[in-house]
Order: sequence, then C-alpha cells, then structure tokens
Amino acid sequence: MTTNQFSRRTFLGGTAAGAGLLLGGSTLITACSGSSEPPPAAPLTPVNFHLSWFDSVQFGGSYLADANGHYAAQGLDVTLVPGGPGVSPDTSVIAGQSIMGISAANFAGQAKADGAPIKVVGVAMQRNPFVIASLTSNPINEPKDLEGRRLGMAFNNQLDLELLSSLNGVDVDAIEVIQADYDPAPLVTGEVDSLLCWLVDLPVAMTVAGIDNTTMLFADFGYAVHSQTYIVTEDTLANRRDDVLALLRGEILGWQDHRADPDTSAQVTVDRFPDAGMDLETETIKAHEFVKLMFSDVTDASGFLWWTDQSVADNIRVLKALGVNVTEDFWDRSLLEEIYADGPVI
Amino acid sequence: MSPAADTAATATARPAGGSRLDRVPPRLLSSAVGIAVLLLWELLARTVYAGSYRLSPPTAVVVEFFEFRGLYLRNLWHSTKTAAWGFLWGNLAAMALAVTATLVPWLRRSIGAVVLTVFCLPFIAIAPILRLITGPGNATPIALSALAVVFTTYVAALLGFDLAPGSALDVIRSYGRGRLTAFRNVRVRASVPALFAGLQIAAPAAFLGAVVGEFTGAHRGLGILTVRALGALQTDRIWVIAVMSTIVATGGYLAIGALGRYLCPWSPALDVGAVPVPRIEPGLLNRLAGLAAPIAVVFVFWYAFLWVFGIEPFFAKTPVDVWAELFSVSEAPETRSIIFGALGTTMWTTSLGYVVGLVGALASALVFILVPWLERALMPIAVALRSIPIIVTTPVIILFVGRGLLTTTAIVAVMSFFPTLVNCYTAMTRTPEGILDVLKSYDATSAASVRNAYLPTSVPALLASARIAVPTSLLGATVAEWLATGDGIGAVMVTAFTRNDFKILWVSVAVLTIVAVIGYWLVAAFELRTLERMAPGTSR
Repeated sequence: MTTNQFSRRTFLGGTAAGAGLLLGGSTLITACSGSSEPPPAAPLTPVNFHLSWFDSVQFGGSYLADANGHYAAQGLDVTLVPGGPGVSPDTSVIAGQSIMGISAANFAGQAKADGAPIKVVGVAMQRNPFVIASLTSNPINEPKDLEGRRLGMAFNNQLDLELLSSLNGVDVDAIEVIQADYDPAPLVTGEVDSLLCWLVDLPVAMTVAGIDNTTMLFADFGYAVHSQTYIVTEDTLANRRDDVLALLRGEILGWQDHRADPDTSAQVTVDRFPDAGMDLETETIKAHEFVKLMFSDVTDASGFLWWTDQSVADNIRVLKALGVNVTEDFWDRSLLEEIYADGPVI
Repeated sequence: MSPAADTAATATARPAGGSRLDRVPPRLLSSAVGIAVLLLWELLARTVYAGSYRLSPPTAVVVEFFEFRGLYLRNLWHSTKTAAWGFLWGNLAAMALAVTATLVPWLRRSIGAVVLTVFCLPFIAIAPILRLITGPGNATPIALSALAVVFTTYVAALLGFDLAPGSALDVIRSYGRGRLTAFRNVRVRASVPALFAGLQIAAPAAFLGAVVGEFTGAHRGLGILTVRALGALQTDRIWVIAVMSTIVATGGYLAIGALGRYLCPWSPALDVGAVPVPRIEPGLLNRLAGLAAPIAVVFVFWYAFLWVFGIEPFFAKTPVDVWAELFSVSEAPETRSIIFGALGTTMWTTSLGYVVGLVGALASALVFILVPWLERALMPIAVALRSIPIIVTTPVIILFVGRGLLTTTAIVAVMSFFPTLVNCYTAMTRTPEGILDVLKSYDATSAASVRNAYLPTSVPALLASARIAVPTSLLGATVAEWLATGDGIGAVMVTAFTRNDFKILWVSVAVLTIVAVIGYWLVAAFELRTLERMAPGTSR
C-alpha cells in the first residue's frame, strides 16, 4: 500500500509538471504534497522531509516510521523526498519546501555561516561515516599510511582530506589524489591504493563481491563532524514547533524499530523501491553498519539523535579548520530534551 | 542522418573506380561489421578486460537484461516518459517562439539571444536552481529536458519558415493577403523537413536532460540506476543501461526522421547543422544596436526570472551581485582566481576535444566519400552513436580513458565528432555532379577531387556544425568534469552547490554562459565571413 501511494504521488508530479512549468512552481508543490489517501479519523498534516541521498537503507528508520504508522500516529503525512548528487537538502529546507532535511554539519554549517537561518535539531551519526577504504592485501590502517599512496576521492572532499592530514601530522602533498566517485572499481583494479568514501557504501559493495577490504574511519582520527544531521529553519522552529516535534518523534520511533530489527528494515527498504534494483544482502549488511554509526553509549544514555556538548565543541573546532565558522547556537537540543523528558526510549 | 545520407548517396556521383566491396548490399555490409564488432567486444571482454569491472561481454549484457528485464524496462519507461514530456513542452515553446520571430521580425534577434543564452546555461548548475523552484517531483527533470531541446528546434523551425519559396510568398502578397496568410499557407508547409530534422536532434537531447534531472532526486530512472550500479561494482548493469539508451535514442531519432519523410515525401531531409547564421547589417551603429538589444533582453529576463519565482535572496543572485562578487567585494580577487583558473582548465581541455572532434569528423567524412564501402559499413553505426546521451557514454569512456584531463577531451571530441561527421558527409554527397564530371574528364586524382570539390562543398556544413558544437562541447565538458575528472569549472559549480555557496554558483554560471555565447558568435562571425567570400549572397 505504501508503494501504491508512492507511485501515485510520483505520477501526480509527472503530469502536473507541465502546468507547474507554465504557471510557476506553486501549483506543483501543492500537487505533490497533497495526500492522495482517503483521510483517516483526524486529518494528517502533510510535510516534506528531504533525505540526503537516493532511496537507501540509510533512511531505513524513516521507511519503518512510515510503514509502521509512527508518522500517522503523530498526525503527519510525511513525504520522504529523495536526494541525489545534483541537489542539496539544505536548499529545500531554507526555501521552505521541506519542513526538515538531512544534511551534514559541514554543508549546513556553510549555509548557516553565509546567513541561512537554520539549526541542527538532531544528529543521527555521531561518528562521521567517512573512511579510507583499501584492499586488505595493501591496507591503510592509519592516516600516515596514505603518504606516498594513490587515493581516489571526489573533488568535493579535498578539504576533508587536508583536515584529516593536518589533524594527524600527514603531509597532504605526499598523497597522490585521483578523482573517483561512487565507484570502487579503481581500487579493485589497482588504479588507486585507497578510496575516500562512506563506510556503508563502497566497502560493503566490495565485501558483497567477495573482495577483502580494510577501512579506516575518519572519526577515529579526530575528524569530529556530525553527519546525517536533521536541520530546520528558525522560522519553522518558531511557528511550527509541534510539527517538528511530531516528525522527530516519528523518526525516533522508526529508528528504534530499525535498531531492534535491522534485517526487517532492509527488507522493507528493498520492497518499498522495486525500481531501484537494490540487493537484499547488501542492504542488510548496510542496515547493521548504520546501527553502529547511529547508536552509541551517548544515545543509550540520552536517546537517538542526541549529541553532547563536548561533541559540539569538537565540531566547532573542526569546522573552523574546514573554513566554516559556526557557534553553539547552530545546535538546538531543546526539542530532544522535551521528547526525552521521561527517558532515552519513547 | 542516414535518411539524408542514403537518398543523397544514391542520387549523387562518387569518385570513379572503387573496390568489389562496393557491390555488396549496404545492409549486408553493415550487418557484417556489426557482427565483427560484437565478436571483438566479446573477445576483449572475455580476455584482456576479464575481471576488470570495465567491459561486459555482449552475452553477459543480454543475460543481465533478461534476468532483470522488469527492472530495466520500468526505469527505461520512466526516463523515456520524462524525456517525452520535456520533448513536448520544449518543442512547443520553441515553435511558438519561432512563429513569433517570423511574424514579428523586429523581435527576432532578441528571441534568438534569449534562446541561445538558455542553451548555453550549464545544465549541472541550473538543475539545483530549477529544483528550488519546482520542489519535489518530476518537474525538474521535465524542465531540464525541455530546456535541452528549445534551441535546436527553434533554429530548425525558423530555418524551415525562411525556406518558404519566395515565388509563393509573392503570389500571396499579390493577392493583397498579409503575413499571417502567407505564414499559414506557405511557411508552415515549407518548414516541415527542417523542423523534423530539428526534432530528430531534440530526441536524444531531451533524454539527456531527463537523466541529468534525475540526479536532483528521484525514485527511479536510468540516471539513478547508473549511479547505483557504479557504486555496487555492477558492470553488466552499466552496459545494459548504455546499450538500452543507445537503442532507444537511436530509435527515436530514426522514427522521427521516418515520420518527417512520410509527412513530406517531396523534399530531401535537411540538417539543422547546416543552418546559416542570421546576418547583422553592416555599419558600426547597426552592429552595436544588434548586439546591445539582445544583451539587454537577456538581463531583463534574468531579473524577471528571479522576480516571477520569488526566489529568496540567499539563493537568488542578480547581475549586480555577480558583478560585485567578481570585482568589488573584498574576496573578489580570490573568487576571480578560483573561477578563471578553473575556466582556463575547462577551456583548454574543451578546445582540444573540440578541434580533435571537428578535424576527425572532416577526415572521416572524406574517407567515407572516397571509400564508399567503408561508408556503407560504418555510417549506420555513426548515426546510432550520434544519438547516445553523453551521460550514458561518460561512464563507458571513463572505463577506458580513466579519469584524467584526457577524459574531458575525449568526451568533448565524441560529442562534436558524430554530428559533424554526419553533416559534412551529407554535404559532400551533394557535391554538384557537374564539378565531379569536369574533374573526371581531366583524370583528376582523389586528392584533387577532395581539394577542389568535396572540401569546398562541405565547408558550410562544417562551419555550421562547429558553431552548434560550441555550447554542446561546453555542456559535455562540464558533465565530464562533474562525473569524471573533478577539474575545471564543472567541479567548481558542483562544489559550490553542495556547499551551499550560491555566490560562486551564480558567478560560474554567468561566466561560463558568457564564454559559450561569445564562442558561438565568434564561430558564427567566422562562418559568415567565409561563406560571403566563398559564395556571395548565399548567407542570410
């Protein structure tokens, strides 16, 4: 049923698009966000939640929140908007098209520093998922190992590499950087010795293909940048606080379900997007990996999406080194404090 | 352009002599070449490239397709549907603009400037801005797909309207009827062949727009499936997508050509590549006026765009903002060095690819005209390759060339090569028989025929192709920089929008668009001068 609703929405987007083009964007937005379901007892509030990448088990908790009725129980009809390489969720949030979006502290922080009125209200990945992946036969175990080696990475990550190097006394000029993105083939074929990527994408693909690989997590070497952060605008916080609270509650319930049963989360994700051609085995491995990145002693003590004051201080310091200047008021924990008033599980 | 090439080829003389292969039926010959290519492909994939995650053998491609045919067909259907909507809206807009430009001649130059500017806008930078306006859904892919076709169709329709026979227009006028009647009764009919040639080019362009649009967030589509497959080491999947896209794009191209011939059987197919540029009246004042008005209109459109869509100041940058960012704010020198440094890289790799593509195309056209059996064997393949969307070719080119600067050059070369080859070859087959007869009677060598007959007749087509290739080359270069090399202005734009740096984004878009428009007009001016010198009065 979820799938049906999905394709109907997409269809609506497709046919209304022409009209939207000619008449201006507003027609289309209305067409997209309107619920196509018959209204249940109480009318649900339609909201867009902008994800940071294509449909993937990376958002498994959100799909579970939808499938298990957590959003609806909070009075929301949530449209999960997919991201991609050609779109920034921050933009969608700042423009008011999405009530909440998933970003990372460095990207959202840049927008904040440039004057965009946004705040972080939740941090799903306390530990940044960036890794250096290498073949186990030629491993990179610590940043120093990168010197004199060839590294494949997206050009967007130059600053991140420089930061990792300076944090660990590595001569960044001694690393031979080659552009490579979304693709483990250069490592597998020996064009490069290492890849800068996410723990949960290319290494998992290699594992599934039976290629032994080693990963070195940035977060273990001082790179303390919050990732999969939930951002909203200050205006939304002031005027639609209840909707944000409801959405966060739905998210938390969904991710609690994901943690309890990652295998089901992977299955739900694969079934929800039959046109994506996802592989269940791959998504299941990823579902378990995400649990490791998203849940920790901190979340066990305080709840999912929580962050500590210490991690904010670390982020400010590291972001400054990345050229992004933000202060403590970029983070707003008051919503989580309200949600978790009775303990770390809801 | 196989239709044009085929009709022209049978109608026109070729150099005398030739090998026994000339007598083999063309279909047989191209089938033989096709089978040879498939065998070689299979062999390479099974030996040299085995286990390399680069080349999938054709047999594996077929197996993969059938195993997941539902998945592939659903995604193909989705992207094709998006492209079809874009094709419809873009072409309707283009035709409306062409009709307006024909009926209201004083608007013509301004409309042309706006349409050209839109065509020169870098796709990868306007995609996120469009997404901002349209919100979630399929509107951004459709809009991009529409934008991708407006220019070529506009040029084609305009050419078609202009090709109306003067005598018929005179008759209408002598009956005291106005422009509208002339338009309805003469120009519309006359425009069919040129219009359909334009629509043929638009089909693959619409497909490209749709696929780039998917990168701004969608649940399905071939573009997304490609990115997913790259990340998951699914080489077979990438090749299935490439092969499928080629078949569909080529099919669309040929189907539209066939429809055009069905509707208008009396006229030979034309190629938009061969459209002469509109001529600017001589005289400094006229020239200045001719340039100033369109530029002013473009700026008015810029402001109007921001105003109509009510884009927030955080995203919306006006011409004044862009100027300030480049020249007056304190970070301006730094911005200039980033933008112009990157632009230098892009210009260098693009120009190299552009020249290699054009020269290679001209040389190949000459080989084809001199060795007819080769043309019969290879031209159908060239026609097919002409319509493959760049976004699908890019991963395949990366597989072979790697991810260095050479990749951009290779992609640009491929983008300019195929259309130019087809246009030049078609023009050469139209070499007047009289000239060839004279050369034959003097027992002229092949070299002499090339120098005195084929090269001169192909010059207009070459120059027109060169002009159209300026914006398409830059488009190809920025896509390649984004997906493959991480260099140049394409990378600057992508970095800018992922980091939410809209100042740099708008500055890049403005600078790159200006470069593309200037490049286009430089080639156009050269074209005009050359045509005037070769055959006074033929340019328009």
